[in-house]
Amino acid sequence: MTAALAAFGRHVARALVQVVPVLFGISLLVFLVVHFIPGDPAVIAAGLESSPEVVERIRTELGLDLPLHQQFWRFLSGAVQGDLGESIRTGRPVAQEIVERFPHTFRIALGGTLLAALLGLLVGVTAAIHHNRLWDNLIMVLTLVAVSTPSYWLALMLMLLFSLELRLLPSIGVGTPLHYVLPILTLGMQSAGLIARMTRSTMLEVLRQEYIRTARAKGLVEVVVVYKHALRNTLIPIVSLIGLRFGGLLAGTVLVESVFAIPGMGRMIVEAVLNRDFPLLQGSVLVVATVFVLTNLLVDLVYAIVDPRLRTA
Amino acid sequence: MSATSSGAGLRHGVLAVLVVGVLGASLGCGGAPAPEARDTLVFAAPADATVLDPHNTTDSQSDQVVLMLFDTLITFDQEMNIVPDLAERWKVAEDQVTWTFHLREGVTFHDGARFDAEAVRANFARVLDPEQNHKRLPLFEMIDHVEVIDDYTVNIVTAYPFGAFEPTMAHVSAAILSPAAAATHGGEFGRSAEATSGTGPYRVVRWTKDFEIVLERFDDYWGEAPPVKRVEYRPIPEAASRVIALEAGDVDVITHIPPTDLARLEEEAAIDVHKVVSIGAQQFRFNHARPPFDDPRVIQAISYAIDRRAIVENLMPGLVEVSTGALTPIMRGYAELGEISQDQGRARALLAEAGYPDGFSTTISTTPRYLMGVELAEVMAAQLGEVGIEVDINVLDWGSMVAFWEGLLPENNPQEIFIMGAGASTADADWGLRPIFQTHPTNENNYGYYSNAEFDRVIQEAMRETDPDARQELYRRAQEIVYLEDPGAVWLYDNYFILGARSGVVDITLSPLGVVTFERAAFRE
Amino acid sequence: MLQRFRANTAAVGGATVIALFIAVAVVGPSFAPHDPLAQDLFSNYQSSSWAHPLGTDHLGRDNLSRMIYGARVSLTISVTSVVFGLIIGMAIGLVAAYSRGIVDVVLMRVVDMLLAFPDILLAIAIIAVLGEGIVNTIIAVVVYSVPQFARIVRGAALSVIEADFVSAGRALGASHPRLVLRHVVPNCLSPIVVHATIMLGTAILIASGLSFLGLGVQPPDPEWGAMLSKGRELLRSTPIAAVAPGVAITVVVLSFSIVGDGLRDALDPKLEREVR
Repeated sequence: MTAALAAFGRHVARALVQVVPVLFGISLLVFLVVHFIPGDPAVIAAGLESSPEVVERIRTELGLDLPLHQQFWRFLSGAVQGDLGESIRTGRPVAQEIVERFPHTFRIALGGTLLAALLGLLVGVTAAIHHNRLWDNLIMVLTLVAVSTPSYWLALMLMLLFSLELRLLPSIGVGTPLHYVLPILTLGMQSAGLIARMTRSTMLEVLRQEYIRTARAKGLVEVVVVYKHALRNTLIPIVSLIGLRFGGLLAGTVLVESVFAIPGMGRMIVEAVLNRDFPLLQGSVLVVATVFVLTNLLVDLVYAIVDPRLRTA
Repeated sequence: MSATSSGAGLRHGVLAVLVVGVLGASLGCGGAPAPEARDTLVFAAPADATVLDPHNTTDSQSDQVVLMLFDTLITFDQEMNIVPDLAERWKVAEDQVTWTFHLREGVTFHDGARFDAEAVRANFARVLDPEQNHKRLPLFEMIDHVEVIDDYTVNIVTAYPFGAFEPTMAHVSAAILSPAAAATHGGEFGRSAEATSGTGPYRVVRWTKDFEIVLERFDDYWGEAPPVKRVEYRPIPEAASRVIALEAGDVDVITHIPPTDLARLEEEAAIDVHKVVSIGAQQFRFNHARPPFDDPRVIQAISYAIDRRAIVENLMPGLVEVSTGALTPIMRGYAELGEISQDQGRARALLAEAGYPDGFSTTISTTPRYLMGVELAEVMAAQLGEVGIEVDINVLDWGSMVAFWEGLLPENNPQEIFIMGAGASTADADWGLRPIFQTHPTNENNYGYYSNAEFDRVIQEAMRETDPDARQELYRRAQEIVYLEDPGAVWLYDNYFILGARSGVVDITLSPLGVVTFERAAFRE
Repeated sequence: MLQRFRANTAAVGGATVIALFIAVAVVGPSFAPHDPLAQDLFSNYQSSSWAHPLGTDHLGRDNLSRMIYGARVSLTISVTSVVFGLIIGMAIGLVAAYSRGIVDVVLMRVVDMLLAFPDILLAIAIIAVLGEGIVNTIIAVVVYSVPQFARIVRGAALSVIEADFVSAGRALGASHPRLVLRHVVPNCLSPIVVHATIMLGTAILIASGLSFLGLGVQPPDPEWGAMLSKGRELLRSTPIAAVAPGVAITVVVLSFSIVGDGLRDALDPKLEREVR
């Protein structure tokens, strides 16, 4: 037992060590991408009615006239100390901008993921149990509709129905918990479709395995067979997918945030791209990426718990 | 889910409770208490303000909040006449460069400081200081110095007679901010609710980026107290949601209504649609440094190839009017030169005269940042195709587009035809023509390297002319050149500034500058 | 194997629908009722009629004809990008899962980096550097999907590799590529097939997202993603125009996943044992 625990501890420690080069790689990548995109932040910051002298002064102020490696060093050394610089557009600290927005994105990402995981697993298992029968086919069609429906449509449709026709829920904003219902539904439906498909297909696979037949032959109740024996063995790809989706949602979803006027990360990142707000872009991508990496680290650890064999490697 | 037993059901129940619990904890309990409905007006624009510092604002979303918080010495009324604001009266001396302003007494800033002549001097010193790098410096470059005569009298002296002095002083960026607050906050001024202080009818109490700006009535305001106590600005970027939020009553006023919704909203009893002719015009411009656009006949041909009526009446019904000159009719110095109607025969003849009887190939650059930006380029492409000009369309995001407008030399600029939304924020011919079309080696402001010797001469003369009639004559001549004889652009249409409001909201102030303010707005019982 | 696929009526139905779409993409344009580029500003924003079953767009172009022409571009983008994304992603995932150790660590950390990067920024960067157009849109989608495939394949392969029959094969001295191709790949097909079919639709949605930002296929060429993105403006005035591209995408994804399932069943070695 202690040996197993020690092995698990080593696994955690090694995984954490690997995070460092990944984050360095991401910093470098985001820096390069940001500087590769055509467009001059100083010009955009100055505004269209401005003069070249103003632009030049802004450029110097932002340090954009320095050689690239010096700019990267400034960004990296600042980031390590928790200083992500100041947004070009608003002049406020990037860290503060992120702190204000991340909670909104986190709430809808978490809500959407939980809804999706719950719904997806339930529906996926149901479909697998009723393989090739009416339920299965119906669910299959519905999940694919969910997956291939553009999120902004679903968002607008939900808003038309619940806010305009029924007047049950607020249309836009983030003031109260009720404000989060429609965005979470929108995000959750799409992920639920994906997770349901994945669950159904891996579940079908597992249900054909020898040990399940053995369990059935032993006369175990079907529900026990399905949820205790089978589901446990399908979890790895499903957890992997849930982790991916959650990590992806944490970067924000610009379309859903735009439709519901949520001041989240997605809108901020796209606006930062369009305005070439380099510090804001670099800082927010770094933060989002860090959270993503940590989430997946967590998923890896969940693997290790679900399937101890994977630890030893 | 027919197959679940009680065991599985229980497990799901537990999970569901867990989910609700986690969500509840994460969302925080209880919402903001709904304020007394008739006390608060909620306004939704497509974007948040960038900065609430008059000396640094360059976008209309910021301008319209700044106008609620700050006052200028003189200002525009809704018909664009210039009327007193913080200055009760003003006059220009014989020398045509010394402007004397007699200031209103008993005015205080939101931070409690007193407004006087010294505050005016400090403001212009701030915006004109190159070290502080304020974006609106170029607008005030004609000012030589500011003299305090006594507590409530101040002279602003320009370096040369400047014809557009009054509209420039009525510009939002000439608004007076509290020098004390500016000194305290330095570069942070106008970047948060706490660091903003003017003399206007409202003050900022909260600003959460991209979510809301909350303004409250300023009790010590010098003028008539505004009827509405609170005004909330809620940016909603997606047009369809903005319209739904208005229809659902979640917001009281919106701007930027898409063409596909306008007619429906006009029919709706619960909603009023208001519009004014604005300073904004939609154009396509040309890189005059590249053949064939160095030949005015080619531009004229393109201008005649376009069916503006068809575009205005079908693509943008109710939103715009066909252009009738190089400026929009609301602007000072506008000269009506008439619509340019489609005439394909004339277009072909002009092309042949210019040496392109079989047309040529070119590229139009456009960006979806402008309403229908891509569609307009598609229409241009199709209509130019009918007179033999073959067009490729290059769609760019805003950042990439602006990269071509940053003071490039002609040899570094591959753009040929490009979309442009014009709108001079002083609503005056000088700012609307001079920076845009005056000869310049790079394309800072004059994005297409337009160059016409006579235009240059006339526009310089007009800038220094202070007699209104003589000024008007000079600007008429300048517009004849740039609109007809040697066109600097293809003008398509002039925009209306449009807003939709719940019908209970009255006396909203719409400005042709494309900004809306609520200092007189009220809820009708 | 082919027989088993044929016996699956749903899969055959799906394959028929796909064949139909491909036929539309290839020969459809000659049957399109109108020129997809022909503008008629005076009859824009129309709902469905005999002349224009799916109505007309902002510029009065016939939506049905644009859908038909757009099939070619959209199916090309979606199928090509998924095929390349799948091949590259699968190779990376298999190598990582099979070699374990340092190779696995390095590959997966690179994959993590790419996954952690907000997809929209990655796409914008690629388009901004390479320029716009169909090929570059495909590249953007491939770069987006490779790390996803890699991670899913690795996850699935890991559990298979630990399974007894692979160890048995290894003990019997089977060569590595042979082991991977014969035993590992067939046994982790099902999550791959599921993800691939969904990516087919996602590819078009990404193209749609890019055109939302003005970075998609260049106008005036019709493409489903761009029509979808533009269609949201028409959701309340001419819903048919807004819904048509969405329905088309759903039907394509549906057919591909039915076929995918059929294909998986036909290829699945375990199922073979069962049918026996």
